[in-house]
Amino acid sequence: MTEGRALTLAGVAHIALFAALSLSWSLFGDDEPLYDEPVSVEFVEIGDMPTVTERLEPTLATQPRETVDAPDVEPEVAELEMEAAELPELSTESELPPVEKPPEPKPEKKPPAAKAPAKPKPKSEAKPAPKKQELTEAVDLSKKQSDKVRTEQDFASMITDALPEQVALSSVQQTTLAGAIRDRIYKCWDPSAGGPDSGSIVTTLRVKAAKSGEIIGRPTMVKQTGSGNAGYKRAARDAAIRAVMNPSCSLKGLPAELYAGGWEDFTLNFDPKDF
Amino acid sequence: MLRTLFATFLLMISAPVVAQNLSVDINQGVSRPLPIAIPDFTTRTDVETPAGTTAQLGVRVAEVVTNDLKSSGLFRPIDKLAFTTTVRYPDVLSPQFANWRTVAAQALVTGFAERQADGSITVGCYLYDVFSEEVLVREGFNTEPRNWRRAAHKCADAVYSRLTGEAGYFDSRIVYVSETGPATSRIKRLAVMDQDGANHRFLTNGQNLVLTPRFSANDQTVAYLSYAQNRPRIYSYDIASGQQRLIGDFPNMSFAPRFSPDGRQLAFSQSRAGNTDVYIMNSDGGNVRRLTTSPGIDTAPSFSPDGRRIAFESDRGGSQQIYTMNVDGSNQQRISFGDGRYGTPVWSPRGDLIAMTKIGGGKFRIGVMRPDGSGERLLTDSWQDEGPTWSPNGRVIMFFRSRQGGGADLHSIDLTGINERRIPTPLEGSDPAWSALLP
Repeated sequence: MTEGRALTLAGVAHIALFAALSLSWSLFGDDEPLYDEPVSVEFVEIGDMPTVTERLEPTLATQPRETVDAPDVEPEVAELEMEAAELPELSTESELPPVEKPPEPKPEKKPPAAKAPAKPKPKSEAKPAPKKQELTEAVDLSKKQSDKVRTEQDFASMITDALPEQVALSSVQQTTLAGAIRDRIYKCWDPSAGGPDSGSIVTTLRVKAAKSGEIIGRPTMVKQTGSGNAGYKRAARDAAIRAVMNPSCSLKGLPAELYAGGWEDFTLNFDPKDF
Repeated sequence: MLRTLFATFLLMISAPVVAQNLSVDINQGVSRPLPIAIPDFTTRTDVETPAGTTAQLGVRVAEVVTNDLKSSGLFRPIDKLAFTTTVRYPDVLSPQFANWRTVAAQALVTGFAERQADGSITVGCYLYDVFSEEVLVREGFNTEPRNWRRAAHKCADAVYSRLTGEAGYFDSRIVYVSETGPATSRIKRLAVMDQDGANHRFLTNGQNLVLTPRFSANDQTVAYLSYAQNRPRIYSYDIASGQQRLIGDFPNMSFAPRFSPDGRQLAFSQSRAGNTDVYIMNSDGGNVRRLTTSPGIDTAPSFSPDGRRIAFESDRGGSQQIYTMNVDGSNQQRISFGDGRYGTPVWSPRGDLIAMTKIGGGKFRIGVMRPDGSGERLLTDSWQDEGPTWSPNGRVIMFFRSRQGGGADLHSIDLTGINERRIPTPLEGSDPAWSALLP
């Protein structure tokens, strides 16, 4: 075996290993539906109270938030109908306790149901698609690169470049850093929402941070265990995300030397068991 | 060759270190009300309605939502004076989140009130996560203008439910005994109001003494005890229609009625020949069955939410204690064993706890315990607190507090025992009963 083949073999092994470890999150994640059962609020007919004739299901935002045209903005609305109150009839039985005169009944007229306003139509401001010419050029460039005959040395360096530039933290450094992150985050975490078995819900978030301490994007939930109540689990997820994204508990000022391989990309396990 | 293999080995053992993520356990947290901004609900065009202009309604709706959420103890509505921005109609769907972050809001409720062509109003209700800028609730309600408060309560319930994971309880009612006059000639009337004290009205005129009103779980019927013609008997009152009727015309004194979760049955107590026992009957008064037979006083029955068990109080063992039994009267067992006496058990709608009145040390206090009697926890500490009733979501308990100088009023406390509030009533009040969430 030549030295070149050995390097090639090593490179392939690295890619395989790197791919396996990267996929492990999804393989071991909780595959239960994590959230977004609609919170229902519905009315039914009761006397002089409003009545919902159509259940409205709350939906997550789909519209861009900065491009709303005022005249078009309408929420999803549940239609209610007013039922005229029945004229209260007091029993004439002499045994019955005297009763206050009920409120003045309304005429028995059923107003037509209001039409639900149309769903908001956000103004689309999508970025223009890249020009065809640009796309073609990009494909050609990619093809040219893949067709390039590389030396074995080039291939080895390419593997090295593909791997994140990280450092392996010592166990002491990991402990120190974990403590520093914990001290920041716990002050913004309120796990008290939920119900009887909310204390068993463990929420694991993956957090990516910039070196400035800013959270990059939104933390993603990679795993959640405990409780079968979707509402409690959703509340627990939201509480954990709020804790991470709260500027009062930012990561700003964490040791820069522990950023790479440390707090640039890490996971948080929110466990309220001892709360 | 050897050098090549060695290089390969070095590369392979270095890989796992690179892929390992730092994992941090967060086991501690803080419990504090969530800062939430609730600016006045806006309107596209300010027009008159029978309940005021839509702009005025928008302000009032925001006030009701604010008060509801604040009363839960889980939210801290931010003072409007601190707001750095005014929400206009387009901002309802497109909040300027940066402005809300500057006032330390973590959640934002916006909305609007509009009049429809048929005279009804639409109340739109939106909840946003200020950090992630995600919309969490988007709901709207059409109703007659005079019912705008219910639309506001529905909005507050939607916000509460989304952020806590639990059902709300703001769109519900309280029936209670309104009291006035000197102790020797006390006038007691049935009264009903929204859970926040609004829309108060009397149901009876005070000619006869009334006690222990209890809501049916699935409609607006109230069972209560009335001394009409000086005979304590159980009546029902349909709040929607105003109709009332006698339930079970027994020759003996009957009292302490409580509906089963499905509303089809009533458990109650009846005294016969000096012995008081727990009975059950259909809600129309038929099919009466006796569940307890022990000498002494067995009373204050309360169903478990699945309808299979009944908690009650009994002095059969020599002192007033809490017992449970199957709904057919079998398997009776004592569950309270602490110091002092226990009374008025009320099973939580969630089923996980039983609220009760603990009597001891010269005090009546409200507490909870698990259905097996374990985990006893006292929530109040006053001279005389009694008569607990659960909010529909099982997180808040209302009760009445008697004053040493005379008189009583209604209070509520949540399960943490921290958030205690007095419920406003026009006169003094006792014996509250919380309805289910209104349909």
